[in-house]
Amino acid sequence: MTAASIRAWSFVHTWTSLICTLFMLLLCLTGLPLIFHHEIDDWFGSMTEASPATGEKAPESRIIARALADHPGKVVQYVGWDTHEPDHVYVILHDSPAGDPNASTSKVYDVRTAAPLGEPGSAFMRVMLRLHVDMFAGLPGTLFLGAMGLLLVAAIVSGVVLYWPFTRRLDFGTIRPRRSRRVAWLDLHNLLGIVTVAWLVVVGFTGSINTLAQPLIGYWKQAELGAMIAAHAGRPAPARLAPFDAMLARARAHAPGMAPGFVAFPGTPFTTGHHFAVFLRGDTPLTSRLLRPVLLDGETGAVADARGLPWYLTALLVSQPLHFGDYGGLPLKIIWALLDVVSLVVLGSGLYLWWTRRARGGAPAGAALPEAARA
Amino acid sequence: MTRRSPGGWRRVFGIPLVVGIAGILGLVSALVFEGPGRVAAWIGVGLPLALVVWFVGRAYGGRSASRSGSPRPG
Repeated sequence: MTAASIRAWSFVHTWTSLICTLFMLLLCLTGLPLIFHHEIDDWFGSMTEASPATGEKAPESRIIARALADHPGKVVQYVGWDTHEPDHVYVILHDSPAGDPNASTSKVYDVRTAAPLGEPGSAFMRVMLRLHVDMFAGLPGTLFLGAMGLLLVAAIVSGVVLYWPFTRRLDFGTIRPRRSRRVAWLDLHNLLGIVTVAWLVVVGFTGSINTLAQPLIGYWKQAELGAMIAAHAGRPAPARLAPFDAMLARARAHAPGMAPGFVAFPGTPFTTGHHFAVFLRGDTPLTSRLLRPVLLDGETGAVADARGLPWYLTALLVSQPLHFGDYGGLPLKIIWALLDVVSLVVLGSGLYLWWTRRARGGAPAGAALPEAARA
Repeated sequence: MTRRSPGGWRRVFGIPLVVGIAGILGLVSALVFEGPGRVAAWIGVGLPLALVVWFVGRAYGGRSASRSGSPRPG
């Protein structure tokens, strides 16, 4: 590697990192509690315990009726089930079916007694989530963070290239605490950075994919959902909704071996103005992420259409667990959190290395190389 | 210009490559196989942490610090 190419790569590494570092610090810090959001919500949330796990499940229609009675003037947007919380049924309500998702009301009901258990999550986690997802700036904020994620990937690639001239004369994992503080931090930056490359690329890249969720769902609605409902075009909103339980039973019967993940009510962003959309999922870690939508007539409850998800939504859904780290039990979450902390050290040490080089008069990157690497 | 010694890239990138592949396999295994896949994920994804603890501990932990402080000859 010539000194000129080292300088060029160093320029790329410095500036891609610097531009995204502040946002990456924010994402790492807010992501840390988000890894444990189930546990934290259990501690800080206001939910009451579900009834003991005995007895029959209440029909969903009873839960929906209860939710509507609890929230006069509101309509149900979604009913959902969480595989991690088998005792809970989630009901999301709003003033109108297509209302702003950030202004909706979420309530948890007991799957057996249909009694309200409280609001899911905690205020703290909701703030962390918004900071992490869009910095309270809506879709532009989300897409901006996605672009920062791609810059991070560029910073990682250039970092891997620079790893060669900086470490090729050293044993793997060399840290030289007896040399200057800067050399010790450089060694630490190199070691921590290179061993976390794969994890950080996966988390950064899948995070960037996740930022495209809203546009992808919008496109799916236009392209796929459009084709699914072409035969029913122009149907008005249902004057009277079909009985929910019978409708759900038909959706289940249409996809044997799958369980409903959530139901979108007519008029909400995930379906048409005339149809229920039931999103069913499988029961393995992978297939439980892949949803199969079944459209059912809002008035009669009859199955109108069903088809698999297109590749881009499959990619989106598979990328989610790889970003969240929530699919391998508590040990994987702890590993995720520790890797997150290691990433914070890589970001912080990178900032420190840039700052000290600048403070020493802005010598070009090549001059910062250990003498052995410049031979 | 630098002259690459034979197998030099393997000395520099060998361990990072193994760590990266183990990590990716771990990430995928928990997604596909529930029980043993999880354990594989803990090992594969956790490997970087073990290496960090090992090398940082070795550098700051005492007597071998000076030995690891000298660059490789040649």
